[in-house]
Amino acid sequence: MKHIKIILFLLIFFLPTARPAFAQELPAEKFSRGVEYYKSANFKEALDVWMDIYNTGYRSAALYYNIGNACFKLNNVPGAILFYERAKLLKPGDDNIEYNLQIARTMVVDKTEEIPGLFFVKWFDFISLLVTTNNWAMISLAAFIFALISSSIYLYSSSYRLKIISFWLALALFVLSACTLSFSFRNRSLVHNSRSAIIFSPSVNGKSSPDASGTDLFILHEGSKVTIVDEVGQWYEIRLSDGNKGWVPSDCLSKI
Amino acid sequence: MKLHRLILSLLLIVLRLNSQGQDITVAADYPGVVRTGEQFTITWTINSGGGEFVPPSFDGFYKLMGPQTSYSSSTQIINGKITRETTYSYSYYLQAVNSGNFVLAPATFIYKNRTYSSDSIRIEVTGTGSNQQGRTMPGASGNEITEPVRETKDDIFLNLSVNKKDVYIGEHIVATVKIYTKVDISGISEIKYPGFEGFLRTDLNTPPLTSLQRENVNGTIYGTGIIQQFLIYPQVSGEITIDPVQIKVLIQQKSGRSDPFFGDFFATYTTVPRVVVSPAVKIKSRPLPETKPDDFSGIVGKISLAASLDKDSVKVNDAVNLKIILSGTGNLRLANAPDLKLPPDIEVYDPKISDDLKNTTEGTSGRKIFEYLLIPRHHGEYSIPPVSFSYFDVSTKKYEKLTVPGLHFYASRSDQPGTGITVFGGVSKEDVKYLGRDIRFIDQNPGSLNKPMNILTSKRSFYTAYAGAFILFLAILFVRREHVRRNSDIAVVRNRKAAKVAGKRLKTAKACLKEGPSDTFYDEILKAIWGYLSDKLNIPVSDLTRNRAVESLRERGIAEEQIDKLVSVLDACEYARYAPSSSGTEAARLYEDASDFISYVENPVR
Repeated sequence: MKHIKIILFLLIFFLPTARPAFAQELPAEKFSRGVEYYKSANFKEALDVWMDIYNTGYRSAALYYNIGNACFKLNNVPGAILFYERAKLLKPGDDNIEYNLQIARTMVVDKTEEIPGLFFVKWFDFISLLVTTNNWAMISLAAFIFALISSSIYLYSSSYRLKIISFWLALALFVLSACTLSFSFRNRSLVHNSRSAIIFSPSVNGKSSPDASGTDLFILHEGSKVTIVDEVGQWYEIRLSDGNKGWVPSDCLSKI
Repeated sequence: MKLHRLILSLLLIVLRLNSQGQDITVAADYPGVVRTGEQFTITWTINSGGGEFVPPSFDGFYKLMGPQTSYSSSTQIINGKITRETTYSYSYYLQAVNSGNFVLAPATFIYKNRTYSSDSIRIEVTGTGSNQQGRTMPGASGNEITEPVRETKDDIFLNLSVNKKDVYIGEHIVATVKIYTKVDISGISEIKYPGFEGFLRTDLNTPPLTSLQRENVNGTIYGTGIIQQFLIYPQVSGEITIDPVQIKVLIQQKSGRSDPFFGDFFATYTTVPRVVVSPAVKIKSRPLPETKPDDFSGIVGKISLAASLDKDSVKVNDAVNLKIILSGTGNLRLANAPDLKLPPDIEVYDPKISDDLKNTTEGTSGRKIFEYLLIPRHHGEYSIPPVSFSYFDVSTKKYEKLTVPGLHFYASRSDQPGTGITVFGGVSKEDVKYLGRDIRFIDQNPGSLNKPMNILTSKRSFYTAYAGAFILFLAILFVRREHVRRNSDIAVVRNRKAAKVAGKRLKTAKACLKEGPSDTFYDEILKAIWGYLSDKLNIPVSDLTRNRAVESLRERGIAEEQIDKLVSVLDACEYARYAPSSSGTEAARLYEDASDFISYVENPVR
């Protein structure tokens, strides 16, 4: 009887670890294989391995950052910028990502003058990117439930002090819940419904209308960051950092 | 003439030079090509006298005269240094008899039991040729009467010859400008060299044209002379044309017939200028192979590399000399300074470049020296990385890489107590030197590799959770409010709680019963019943009497037997309180009756 118990125990312990061995290698193992390739300056292989992980749907700031580095080493500047920007969304304020993005941007032909946003918008965005949208939502829900509990305590407690404490706590939790919910929305709009895009074509003309016969308004080169404003068929209306708008074909850019 | 020689000889006797120490050489001077029947001279010149001169046998030639001995001496005093030269020459006048190639044995000179010999003499005698009289060598001109030469196209021509026509870029070519003539020329008045476009040109030292050599060109004897030699390096690939050389020669033309008695001696000559143009030369210049090494210096040829430091340990801020020497053959003049990858703490100045190059027909050879002045600014061990240099080897048609191993030197702390004044606090801080910019290294930690989940905020269930929580909150609020509302009616509460309170009392009573019937037991039973009745019938305990309770119970429609039972229980209890002698079974029956009554009342009332 005792033996059976031990065997069962072992089975339970080893089952989850043994399972991936039968299937494919873990993405983490694949990731370190890419790191080894990169260390020995085989950037092409490293990029292939990491892109494989990316294509299977895994996401992490380190993965994006490394893909960006490999792209940069292979002289694919727009690819590097795209992945640095993506990594920045997952890990805002990371020193290395920021630095490499700056380096990659110096290779871009077009001078991009990013208009610095209002400081509270920047702070708001920064905070909202610290935690994923789902975690913000969970925090918000938990705060809401605790706020309701606090309100109940406020309503039924007979102790005066408890009433005071629970009143303020409930108020704070309600505010917290509302804030985190708005962070969650902001994070969603920044990460998942991003309107920013990186130009991938070596050079592309911005047209005045969404067809090839439109007047050329401006010329953009690879690596420039633009904002998508509108979409008509195979054309995107984009806005440059200086505020100009124009239409470009959708295959010449890649959304962040 | 003889007088002059005599005076000279006397002078020399006075000065009496000692020629024992100097090397004795025997040189022969002769025309390389002669015609049959032509008279010519062979002269041996010896820079020493006093010995015995033995000429070779002149087989194949007819000796007309000789030896004719002459002697000359010169003394030079330059800045107090006296150099003296004596030469003895022995001349033989010969006539060629048969055509063919002849080799004369070397002439020997025996001086103080030592034998010195000249080179052997090779003379080509051409058979035919009637009126091609070579008068070009003044020393060899015969004195027979010749017809005046009317110059034709072939009489005089110019040739620009190159030693190679198919070369690599940067490979050296020797270009020779040579004049061929059958007529007398008195001089060259104008030389126009081509621009050598596409080449790097270096003039080779060419002795001035004083005498013409005889040469057999397709059976015709020409007087030839090299006007100029060039060393040229092609700089572009493809077929390059060297433009023709153009010279203006002055031809001596005899005017009028020779005097029958005095021969040419009184003949008059006129000088006629004539322009002679060489043919253009085409050279195929091949580009170097594509796989150029990074450190390719541009040198084509064969070189070697050496590097050295003059000191291997210095004080900080003292200079070290790094010398890199390139030596060999090739277009060294074009060599760039090798790229030194010095540690940034060494201050380095532009190299001093000196060269010691010689241009010969073998190409430019010699050495080029790059001298770097290195000043270590901090103490410590310094290493100069290996210097490498690549060049293109024409013979193997490959790029060759030269490397000298890295060099090391040590810079010790400088002790500068010489001034005697030590100033502290003036330590100059340096900014960190940034040498290059590159992206930072990858992140080796994969972080949390997650597949992104569905976004909660765009799902309805998420908001349902909010709503659910709120509805639950409201429900609790409502239930609670109802509770409070009901609690506010005391009578109803008491009514509702009556059975509970009574049950508690009865429980206490039952606990007492276990220890035997006592006052407490009956007391508890009474308290339970009276309390219950008071709560149930909504009559204050102070106003409660037995009659009133019975009446009230009757009003509520309680069965008469139950009322009787209650009354009997009350009687028994009150009696037992004052006469506590009843048995345990009776007490148990009392308890049963009391609880029966309560449960009975509880049912119809509720």
